[in-house]
Amino acid sequence: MMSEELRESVIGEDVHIVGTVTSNGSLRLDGQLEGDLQCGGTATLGPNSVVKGNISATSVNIEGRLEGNIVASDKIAMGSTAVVNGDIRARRLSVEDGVTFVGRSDVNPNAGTQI
Amino acid sequence: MADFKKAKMLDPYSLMRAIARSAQDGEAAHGDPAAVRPGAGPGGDEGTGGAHAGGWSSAGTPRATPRTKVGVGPGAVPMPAIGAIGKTIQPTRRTIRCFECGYEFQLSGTVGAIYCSRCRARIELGDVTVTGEQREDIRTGGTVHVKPGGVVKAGVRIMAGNIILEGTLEPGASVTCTQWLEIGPGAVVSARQLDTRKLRVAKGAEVRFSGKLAVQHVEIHGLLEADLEAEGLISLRADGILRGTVRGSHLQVEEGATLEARMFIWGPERPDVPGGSGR
Repeated sequence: MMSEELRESVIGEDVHIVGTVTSNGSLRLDGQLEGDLQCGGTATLGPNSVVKGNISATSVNIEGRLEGNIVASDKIAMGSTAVVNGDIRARRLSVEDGVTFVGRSDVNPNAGTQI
Repeated sequence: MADFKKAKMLDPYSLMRAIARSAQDGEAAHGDPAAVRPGAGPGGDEGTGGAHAGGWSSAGTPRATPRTKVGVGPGAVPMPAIGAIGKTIQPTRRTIRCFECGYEFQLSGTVGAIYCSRCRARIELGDVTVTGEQREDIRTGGTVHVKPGGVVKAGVRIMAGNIILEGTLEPGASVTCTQWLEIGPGAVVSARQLDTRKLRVAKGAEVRFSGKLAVQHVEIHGLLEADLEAEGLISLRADGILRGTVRGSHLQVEEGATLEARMFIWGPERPDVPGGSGR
């Protein structure tokens, strides 16, 4: 558990990235990203994050703004501050009240999803 | 005061009714509600004897246990278990809507009928169960339960506060519900026959509507396949399945649910997105 937290990469709130971000482990994004995000672990988008691109990860936690599609092999969790404009696909989904979500949802716990 | 917080909560209305009843019967050794006010004594759950000793008079009235008779003799009135009243608890209220004028008001307690305070129309509040063929209109502020095997014939209109639908609505029949409409397993119904604010799809139910379904709140424990539009909360529970098109302001999805739909969920500030539906 402690080693997983240490392996999580963090992109700060004042960082603006243009391009593709790839991580083998978990990643937390609090800044802005114009491009795709590919994560082998858990991708977390903080409340102030803005992403314009697609996300593929094992699990995705969204609290910020996303314009793009999400493909998660396991779970997508949308916090109450999440704004998602795009399609999502995962095995599991949890959504808190307050979410803004426009797009297509393809979530089925009985179906397998591959990145 | 700290002990109050540790004690068990109790409906004060049940307590007061029981005290009034026992005082009327002359069974209680005391008529002062303050004397039976739950004390600050520790413990006191139903299994070990209910009331706190401190709440009873010093005359040695035994502790009240669940259904313990106060006083002696076979005619003694059973008392509920006495706990601590940490705060005033409001009685359960239900919303009654007049079918004539549409006036809504809150009602607590159980009565057979009531008169609308605006138009003075009589509103029946009894519950009705339909097990066979229903050929007459039903109009009640209570609950109508159409059991499996129950058939609401064509042309029949059911107007109720709550409706549990597990039977068949023939084409031409309709239901109007002012509170919750629950569709259970085996129900045969179409969206055009429903007029309800709140919809619940029970576990095991499979509801497929070809038309548009507009409600205020919807709670899904089973399968719902529809063009759904909700002004309030769309709650998809862990065992629920939602398919089709969903438009609303509030969405809540529990982990484990299946969601295969086009989603248009936005709050008061609607983002400019293509394909969104206007309201």
